[in-house]
Amino acid sequence: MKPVVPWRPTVLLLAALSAVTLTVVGISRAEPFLLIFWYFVLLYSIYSISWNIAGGLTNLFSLGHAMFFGTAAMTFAHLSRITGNPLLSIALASGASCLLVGPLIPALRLRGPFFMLSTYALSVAAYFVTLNTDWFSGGGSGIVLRIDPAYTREVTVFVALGVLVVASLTFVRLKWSYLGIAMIATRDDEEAAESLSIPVSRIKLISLSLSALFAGAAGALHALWLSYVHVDAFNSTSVSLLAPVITLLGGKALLSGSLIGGLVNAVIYFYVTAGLGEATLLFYGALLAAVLLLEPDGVAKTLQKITKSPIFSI
Amino acid sequence: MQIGDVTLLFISSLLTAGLYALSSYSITLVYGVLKIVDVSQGALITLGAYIAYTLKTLFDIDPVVTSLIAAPAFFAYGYFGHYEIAKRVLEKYSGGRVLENSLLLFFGVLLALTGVTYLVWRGDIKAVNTAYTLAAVELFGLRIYLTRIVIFLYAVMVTALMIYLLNRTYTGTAIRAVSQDLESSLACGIEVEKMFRTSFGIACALSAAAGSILTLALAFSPIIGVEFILIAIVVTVVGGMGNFTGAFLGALIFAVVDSLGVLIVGPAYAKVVALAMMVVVLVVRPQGLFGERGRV
Repeated sequence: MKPVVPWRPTVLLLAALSAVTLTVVGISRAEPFLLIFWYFVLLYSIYSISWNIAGGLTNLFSLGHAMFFGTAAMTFAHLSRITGNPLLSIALASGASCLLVGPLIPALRLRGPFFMLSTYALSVAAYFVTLNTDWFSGGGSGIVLRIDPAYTREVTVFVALGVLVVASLTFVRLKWSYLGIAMIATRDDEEAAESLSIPVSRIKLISLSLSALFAGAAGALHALWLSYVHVDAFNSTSVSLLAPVITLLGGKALLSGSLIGGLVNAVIYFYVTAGLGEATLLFYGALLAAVLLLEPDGVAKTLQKITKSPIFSI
Repeated sequence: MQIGDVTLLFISSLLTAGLYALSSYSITLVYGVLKIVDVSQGALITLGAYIAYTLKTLFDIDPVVTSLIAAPAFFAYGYFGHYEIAKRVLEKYSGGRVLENSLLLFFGVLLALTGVTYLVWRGDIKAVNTAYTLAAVELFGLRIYLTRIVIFLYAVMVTALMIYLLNRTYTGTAIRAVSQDLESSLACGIEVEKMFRTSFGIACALSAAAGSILTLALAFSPIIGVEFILIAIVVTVVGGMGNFTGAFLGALIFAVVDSLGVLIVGPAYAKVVALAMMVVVLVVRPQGLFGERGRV
């Protein structure tokens, strides 16, 4: 039986997102802060969808997504200088971040916590390598980008919307395809999946590569927005941890979960941690612990139970 | 590179290994008994270091003494407080999900406690100065800092104490029994819950002691615990999860690889070499170089 892709709620959801984006851009002269806020919602949603493909669908609990996010941002910095075309550079840079899956291939054999630890170790290694490779990352001072002035904040928000739409459609189409079902089977029971002749290692590799692709897109997009790239802001542990934290908060293996995670994180970013300074760590740590203890299914699952709306089940 | 350099390298690696071993025992113990990876021990290392700093600046108490004061206090915390956190995860999740979710949860606790340290002591780098901080001993024609030797001897003594505790006392035997077979231990009338609590208590005490003692030789900031826990994870993975001898040897291997890395590829990339080593060991021998199943 062919899985039926729930296009209706997906299109509704994306139409709603586009409508909000249009409104936000429309009133951006009167409410400039809203534009910035909405950009961060879109950015974190893309990043969370990317983690959700690996962590949610396939149970590849990566603690090192900053590796993809940051390296793509730095690749974008160089590519945009060479090509002069930010859109092309985003596409190329996110493709390049897939190459980073290479060093992770041996780790794909590992399960659960051992996989988590090796992704974390490799991302810390990636942090040190990029920090000390000045020609690539600009070292401690970072790289200032010269972006085509046509890419104003408003245009960048539309670019972000475009990337988010592509990521969401990919996610939904993937989840209701043979590949996605194979991923979920791998997540639920690796031995059983293997005995049903599902090529588990290949499935994991595809899952992680797709995840790296969108994490890279998010990183490159953010480099475009900031027109500045620095190792600490793009490649650090906190960036790595952000992905699982907001995805678990929103809802694992759910598109709606990723969007809720993105929204909640933007709220946290602007209204909670802005005043905390060094205690930001405290907040995220406590949030992670609280989510795991109190709301293990995520907000989307709870909303699904209450509203019974099909939007929360995609 | 001269012969003297290599000798010095190995001696200093040996001395540093003591510190790494000390900070990895807590993870080893908790993993052995509960089969979960408690990364939040890193925060207790940080707290131990800052308590040593505070007591030194306020009352001029030596960090070695502080470690002896802090250990019982943190034992109590582990016995009554820290175990409760772990218990929540064990109750909430079952099967294969426990390990992953507990790792994430403890990561959260680690970050939260590190954040608290930032709030209380600020983020700048602190150091403890004792009368013998700069003293050095002449050994085989090499000058070695006295603090390093003190730390190494301390680590050796703690290791010996742990081996004695686990092999010669009733509590230790019971802890080992629980780690080997939970159901049979219950059937034999061992108070399993109490043994879990005791292991967490010992683990927290070890972390705090490691944190206090490391202030003798290292300057530190609140992030030190995160750094040390990363090293401790590499050490336990390399040495074999849940195995004390393995942890000590793992610490030694890590220290040697780390210093060789500094010599060969330079300090900037030395961490990368050590981390790559962990991934290689994980892939080639997931149970660790000296690991067997179910040993403490």
